[in-house]
Amino acid sequence: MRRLALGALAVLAVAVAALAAVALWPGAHEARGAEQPRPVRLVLHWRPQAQFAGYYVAAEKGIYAFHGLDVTVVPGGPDTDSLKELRAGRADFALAFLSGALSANGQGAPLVDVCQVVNRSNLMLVAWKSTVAKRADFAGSRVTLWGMSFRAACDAFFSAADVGPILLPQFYTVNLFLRGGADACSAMEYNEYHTILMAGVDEDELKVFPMRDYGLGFPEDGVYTLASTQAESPELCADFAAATMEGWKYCQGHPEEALDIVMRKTAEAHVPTNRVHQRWMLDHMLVSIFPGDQDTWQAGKLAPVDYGRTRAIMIGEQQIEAGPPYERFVAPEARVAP
Amino acid sequence: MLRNLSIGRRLALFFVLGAGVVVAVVSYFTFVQARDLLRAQQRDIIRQALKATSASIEATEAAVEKVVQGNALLVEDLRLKPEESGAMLKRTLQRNLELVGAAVAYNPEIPAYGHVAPYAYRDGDAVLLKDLGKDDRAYEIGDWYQLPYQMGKAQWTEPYYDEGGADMLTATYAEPVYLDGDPASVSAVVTGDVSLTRLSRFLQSLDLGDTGYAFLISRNGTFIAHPDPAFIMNESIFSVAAAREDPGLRSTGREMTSGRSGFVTFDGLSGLEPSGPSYMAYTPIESTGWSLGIVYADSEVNAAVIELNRLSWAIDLVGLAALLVIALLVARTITRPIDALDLAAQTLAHGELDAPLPQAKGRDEVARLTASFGRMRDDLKERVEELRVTTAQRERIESELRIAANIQMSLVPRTFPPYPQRHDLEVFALLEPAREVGGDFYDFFLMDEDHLALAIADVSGKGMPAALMMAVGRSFLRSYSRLGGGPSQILDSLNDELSTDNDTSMFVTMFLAVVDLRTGHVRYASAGHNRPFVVRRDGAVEQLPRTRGIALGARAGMMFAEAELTLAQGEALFLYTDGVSEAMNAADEVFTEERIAGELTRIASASCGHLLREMNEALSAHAAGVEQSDDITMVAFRYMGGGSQDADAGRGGEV
Repeated sequence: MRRLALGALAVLAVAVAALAAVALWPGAHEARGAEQPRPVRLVLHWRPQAQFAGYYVAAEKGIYAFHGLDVTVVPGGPDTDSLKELRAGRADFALAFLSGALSANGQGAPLVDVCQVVNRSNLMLVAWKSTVAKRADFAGSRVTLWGMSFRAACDAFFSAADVGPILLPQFYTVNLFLRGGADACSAMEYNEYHTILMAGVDEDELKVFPMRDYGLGFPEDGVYTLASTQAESPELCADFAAATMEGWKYCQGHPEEALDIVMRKTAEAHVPTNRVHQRWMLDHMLVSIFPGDQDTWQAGKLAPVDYGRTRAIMIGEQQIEAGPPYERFVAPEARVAP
Repeated sequence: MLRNLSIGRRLALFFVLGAGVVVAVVSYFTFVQARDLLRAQQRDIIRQALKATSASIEATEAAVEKVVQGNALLVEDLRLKPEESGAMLKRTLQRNLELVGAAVAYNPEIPAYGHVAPYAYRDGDAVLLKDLGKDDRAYEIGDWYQLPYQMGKAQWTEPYYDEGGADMLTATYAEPVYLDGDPASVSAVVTGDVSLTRLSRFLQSLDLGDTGYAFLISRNGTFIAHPDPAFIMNESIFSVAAAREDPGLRSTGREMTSGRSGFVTFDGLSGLEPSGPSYMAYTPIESTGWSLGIVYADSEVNAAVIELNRLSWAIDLVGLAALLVIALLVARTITRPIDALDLAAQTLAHGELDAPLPQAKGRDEVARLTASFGRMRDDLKERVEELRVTTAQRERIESELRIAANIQMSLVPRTFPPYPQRHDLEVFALLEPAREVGGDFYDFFLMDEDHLALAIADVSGKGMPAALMMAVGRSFLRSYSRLGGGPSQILDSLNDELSTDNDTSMFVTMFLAVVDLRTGHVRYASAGHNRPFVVRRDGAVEQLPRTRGIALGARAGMMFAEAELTLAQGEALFLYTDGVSEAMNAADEVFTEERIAGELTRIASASCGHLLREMNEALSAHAAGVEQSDDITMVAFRYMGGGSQDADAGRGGEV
């Protein structure tokens, strides 16, 4: 009798708690509303890897669904330009670097940044210490650089120091650098830098020049949509931005589970990689998304000062002519009050 | 624990344990030696396998390089146009089966040819041709183009999955071709593709034992061939080192990717987790910059040594078992006579001294023990026999003594008071025979109505002769008393009688008094006997004066002196033997006559019975448990006077 009564009491308590949770959860009513979940396509700007853990996790763990979104994550790759996909109407949202989005903005329908996921710059120049031990050593050295919008920060880095290296194109690998065909190469700290280390190069053989250390750090991954979409469905954009950041928050709390999901996605896409590399990438993404004590940015937001600096350097390096004003380029949910 | 085991088992156990330790130590060192030998041998075998395998890979790569170099020469020297190149490539593939694809990628920056890259590839048995630059596809961004182009020399690319050819793991050898031999202007990149799937299969087909395997890593450390397919292209030797946090593995990786050969011990590479102590020999594939490694587990070497040693261990075990049996048998030859002896001893312990002892063979310890045991048994038998004889003798003596004591006690009057009707006298006597009868006796009898004879005597010697002597002495005393005459005449006669034919030279001391009961007048004579005491009415105690006379039976014809005294009413005589005066205590102190006098003084007025009992108690107190060595005999007589009241009862005292 007594056990039965206790059991019934426990069931009742759980039920009450669940009801209370549903009632108190912000947006719970909308999420569970009678409306059908809104179908959304997100196109990534590269193949599956931990750089996109937050989006995969938000989709897999039902965080998008909780916000009333039915999200399809479409991986990118060497043959895919995410912003072209967006403009072609094959995606509702696209991931892009801020510099890339600014470049592309003037070449078609205007874009809007609805969520600035990565605020800390990961772009760096990695050099063989034996030939390039300091910034001035770049003069006359052979440097491979990614093209287009990636070049702006590096070009600014060289022109500010007044060094003129021999610039070679860099594509998908750092093998030319590894084989000594170049003295330096461009690299993302979360990816190519680790690739170099995992090719057996020791850190003390290298000299790294992170762009953020030279005032040239650009905010990177952001979620973009067409300005027209934002105008028509501001709520959708805001929900998507909020859910995306929740996905990243989950990754921060459950990195191994996030890695499991990422490793599955990379295997499905036949991307050759390993967990050590993806863990390194996730760790570096997380510190680039969520500000530490010393950092001034706000997670998921694009501060006017960072936007202004990026735009100014892009204009200076003749990557763009003018660029839109802050309020037109940044959706309200990604704005920071000046 | 061990003590509970029989000697035989213990012996066998120690034998086998000792031999087992020796065998174990020898086996261990044999094992170590064999293992080291086998390790060295295995190392040589692996090195040979490594050499052969790398040579085989080199040969294939060299063939590919030759073909590509030939094509490059043709393209450069003959300035082949794209269509001509295409035809050449098809023929190349048809003739060189090790190639899976070949291309001539023209430099798009040179307007003469444009953005074009004829590529011959296989589709089943057919060789097909296509343009990699079709639809503005940027072939020039691939490593196979960029690396030779930028570095100005032929390169093997990092392996990659060729998406055109069914996800085939491919490596490309690519050589730049120059326009007019100008090293600054690359006109095209000529390539040949080789499938690594075949290479991987070849490595897996190598016979490297149960745990051995070969693997191949690229210039960047990435696994190109490995028994675990999940490793291929995903993991690098450095990512595994990072996952395991194993800096040793990372430095091995650096050695390998920098083109060195070596031999290391490490934790295996069969998975992400360490797979146990292993050995690896590695050597570079010079042409491609890859590194070939062959791994084998130390456990396999151990297993081989164990396999090798199994027979010798089996022999050892059989030997130990045989030793155990032999040891038990040997132990039995020792313990069987001991067991037999033990059995005999048990029989002996039951008193069967005539039971046969086991036959002792040889002259070993057990035989000697058996002999000693036999001697001991014989001694024992002798002793037992002696004991039996002495016991019988003693029993005879004791029975003699008992008879003597019976004779002694039956000859003295033992009814007190002896003359209940007479109130003029009081007599009490006590004889406590020693264990060996001493031959004391006393006697008293009425010679007539008015005369009482009192006698006390001590026969020299002990036992039956003394008892017989005493019986004879008493008979003669009574006989001669009846003849009349005084005490001296009685003693004279008695002496003569006892001295005649006294071969045994036995003597008798005697005190004889005759009391006139009417007057209290006493006549007495002594044959060398202790002088009695008189207890006077006033309590004074006097010892009777010495009278002439030696012990009876010494010499015939002796004349005994006679003395006399008068007892007043209530005065008493105390007669005793030397058993009283010479009673000893533990300190060998005698009771002494002085002591007798003292005791008499103390109890002067007591009745005769009481007096003797008190004296006896004093004697017991003096002896304090020391065994009485001589008969204790005392007679007390008190003269009451006043005449006989009942004359008829005069002779009733004798028993």
